[in-house]
Amino acid sequence: MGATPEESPLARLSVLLAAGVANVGLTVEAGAPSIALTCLLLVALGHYVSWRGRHRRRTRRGQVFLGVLLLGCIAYVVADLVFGVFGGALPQAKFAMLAQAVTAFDLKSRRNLFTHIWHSAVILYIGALFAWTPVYAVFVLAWALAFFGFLLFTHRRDPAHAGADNLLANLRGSVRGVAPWAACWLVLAVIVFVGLPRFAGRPTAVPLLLSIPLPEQAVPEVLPAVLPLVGAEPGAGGDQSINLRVRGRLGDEVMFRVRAPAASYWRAYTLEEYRGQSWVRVLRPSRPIPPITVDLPIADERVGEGTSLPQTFYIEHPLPAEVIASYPLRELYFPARELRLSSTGTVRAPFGLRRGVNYSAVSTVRDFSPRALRTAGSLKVVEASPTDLALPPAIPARVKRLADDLVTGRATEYDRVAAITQYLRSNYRYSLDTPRLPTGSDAVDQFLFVDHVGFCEQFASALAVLLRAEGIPSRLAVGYATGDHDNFTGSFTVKAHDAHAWVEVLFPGIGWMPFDASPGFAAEPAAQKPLRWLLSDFSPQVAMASLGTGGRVALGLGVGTVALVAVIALAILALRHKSLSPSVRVYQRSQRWLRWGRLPARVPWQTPAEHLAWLRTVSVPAARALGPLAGRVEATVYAGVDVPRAGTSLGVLVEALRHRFRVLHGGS
Amino acid sequence: MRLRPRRRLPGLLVAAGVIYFFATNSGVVWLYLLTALLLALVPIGLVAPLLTIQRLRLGVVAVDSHGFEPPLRRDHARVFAGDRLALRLEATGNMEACELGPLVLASGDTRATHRVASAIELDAGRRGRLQVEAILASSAWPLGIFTAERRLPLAQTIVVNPRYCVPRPAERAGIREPIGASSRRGAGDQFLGLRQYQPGDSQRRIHWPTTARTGELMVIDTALESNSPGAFHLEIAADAGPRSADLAVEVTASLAAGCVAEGRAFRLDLGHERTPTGSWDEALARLSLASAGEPGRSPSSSPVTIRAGRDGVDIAMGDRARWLAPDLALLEVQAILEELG
Repeated sequence: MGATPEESPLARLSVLLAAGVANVGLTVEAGAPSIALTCLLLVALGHYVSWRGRHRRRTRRGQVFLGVLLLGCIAYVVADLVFGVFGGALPQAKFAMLAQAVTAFDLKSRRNLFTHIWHSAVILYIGALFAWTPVYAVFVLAWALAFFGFLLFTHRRDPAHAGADNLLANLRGSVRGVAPWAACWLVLAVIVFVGLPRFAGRPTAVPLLLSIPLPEQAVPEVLPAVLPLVGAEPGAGGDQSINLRVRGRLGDEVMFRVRAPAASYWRAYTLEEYRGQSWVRVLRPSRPIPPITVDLPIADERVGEGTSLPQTFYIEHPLPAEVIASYPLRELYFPARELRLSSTGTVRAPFGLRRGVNYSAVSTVRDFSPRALRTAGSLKVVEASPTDLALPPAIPARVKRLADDLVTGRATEYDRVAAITQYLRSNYRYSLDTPRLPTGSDAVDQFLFVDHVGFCEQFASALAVLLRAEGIPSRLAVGYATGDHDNFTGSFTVKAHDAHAWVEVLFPGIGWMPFDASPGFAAEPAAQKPLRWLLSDFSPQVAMASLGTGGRVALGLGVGTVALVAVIALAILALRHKSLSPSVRVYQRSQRWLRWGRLPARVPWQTPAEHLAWLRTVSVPAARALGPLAGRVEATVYAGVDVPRAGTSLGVLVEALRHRFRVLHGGS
Repeated sequence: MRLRPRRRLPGLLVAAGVIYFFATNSGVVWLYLLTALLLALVPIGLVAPLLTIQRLRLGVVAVDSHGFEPPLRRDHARVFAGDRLALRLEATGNMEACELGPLVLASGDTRATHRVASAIELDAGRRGRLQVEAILASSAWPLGIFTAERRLPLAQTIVVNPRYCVPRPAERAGIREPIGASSRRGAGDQFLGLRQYQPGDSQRRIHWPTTARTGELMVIDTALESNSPGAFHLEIAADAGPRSADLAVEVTASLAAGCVAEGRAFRLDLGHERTPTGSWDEALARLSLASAGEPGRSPSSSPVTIRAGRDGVDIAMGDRARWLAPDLALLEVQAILEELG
């Protein structure tokens, strides 16, 4: 007789390996090595304790103790989340790892092992959210191989007397012949991976936000997209102006990462007032918006139209309080109790964006083709804000003349904008080493007619000023360029030197469109349409915005889908049980009685006859009672015959079994 | 061939669905990869067992039995009622990856088995002919997601003989076959015929001319001239229970075995047949298949009559008679027969 799967050291080692891989993966990608290492050691110790005590029955005291430990884990996470006692980073990940460490001490049955390995999948999922390089594929594959091994070892019996000495021999015996199938599986997985429909347009469901009134010192380091919590921290806002006289050297440190299906400029805010040597933000009225906002009301923008561009931001370096995202925003999921939205589409958080802050946003990708922009309405009907057209009175006349020369013969607004942009890109040099701006001189005039060299702020200022000189509303947008794109993970890594400035131009009836006059950057840097994955067009595209109270409905759809799958699975199991013949059902019931009577019940790999032989070695009377029923079950299951024997009914058998067990166990 | 999903399939699909849901929501490529890896397990778990079971071929290379120790050593290779049988199999394909059993008999019944390495063990059950037609094989290897089942042909006929004892009359107690040559069949002077050599026969009995002619070892079969042939009449009533019928057969076989052990000839009347005088092999084979309701010859020609009725077995030996309860053990039967003489 071989060892049961619960006793298989290989199966348990597979689970331990999966847990280890998930923990290490999370540590490598998201940090928190001390807690991960501690949990890993506890998990290993727990597995050893579970292995040693696999034959011992659970005691009430032990269960209570484990429950208390789990409550302790919750207390730890709440304390960390609310008060930042343990650093406040990755509270969900810490809870998952701690809970796994606790439950590792109670792995008796195969079901426990299954639960444990799925638990490690949750940790792997958390690590995946923070994984930005293809290296994480190693962890995913390692976990999957451990899972494959677990399925293999829990299905196959180890040879009898399997112990540590025979581990390698058992391993060789188990994997013999499996390697070709494992290779087929990996190839098939790649095919499925390539063909799996992906939702490039937008998320299927809104994030689940739990509104917890956190104190001021709470650190809003949370998970994006699916399980964010809401935190709040008062913080200082960013600069209110840009001085064109100086520009600091920017380093290579990572400011934030974005997971998005398409490239875009990541805008923080705009500056509207040009003062000759600087740009200043005009304080405009702003309105409060909730942390989950669908259909953001942005002036001059038709945000409901166009393709969606979902983005998830992971802040790596302290930033001002302005929420960075592709413009214009349509939906926002931000971990704060309240944000403020200005008429320029700038969203301001109640605290500075600190390292660890994560949030999701959905922007609109508009039609940026020259054909569409040429159809923009006339400027006459636009009630543009005077600040978007204003120029300082001291601006030299040659600037205006240059603008007039550049747009001569250009009929539409787009053609005028394109002409000026192209002129700047072609006739001026981009450099961070620019001559010092003389006191009292106009920065744009100096750049256009004296220096002929500048960096993004000079180019953007020149473009905006020339456009305003022609009566075209424009403003300076500040944020970050696209950053480094990883094709595999679909993520963008944005560093400090990606900080950028460009111009937004108002096209009546369409909105504010970005233009970039800096050489070396995209001239028309509007967000591109999201990349479509193979077969993505076959995936259902849910128009979330059209669902009215979209958040709840979408959440309902998501939960409903999961529930439906679960119900179908349960229904299949129930139907399978119902389709069982009466004798099989009675047999299953008899197994419960055996368990109650502390007698060996049939394990899945045993036939009823094998179980009977096993039972006979422990209790001959019990085996004698079960004997006829076992024979009938075998006939039913294997030969499809379920005819009651003459003079023997199921009821009689059941009663005989009951009587036997009652006698065996003193009438209990 | 039949294919059915196992319980871990819904769990796997639900897990893949949940991870896919998270993947679509967060756009994390690793979750798509994980979903693909989990989903790809399903077709592997479906195809691998199918091919494994499809490629499996089985054949029986030997049949071993243990349990009953026959008093006559020549019968040591026979299968007796209640024995534990082991069918040693040779396989083409991955037998380790398959579950084997139960056996399907020609009658349509199934017989539970227990697998030990490359052999399958089963209870021989009652006397009779055990005609194995096929074996049910199943495989869920390697992942246990689907189980493929198939009925593999495994033709094998096994004769299950009735158990017997050798009653020892008081005057010959302590003489058991094959201890004393005189107690064995072939030890007398009365020529009965030639028969094949069987383990335990004396080499001096080999008839070399016939052996040379036939190419098989043949021995001279004789009986003690002084012993008169025993004649046993077995009758199994139509309403006899299986245990009564088996007991009657065991009694008859024991009486015949007693004759064999003493080297006496015997005759067996059963139905319309009469076994050749002294042919133990044929007698045992016939007794193995004796069934209820067979019409018997006139008992007057046989001094010993064994009759299986509904409630037990009646034995009549001349002027002595005895009734045996059906649940009697073989040792008890031996004692009674010795008592009856």
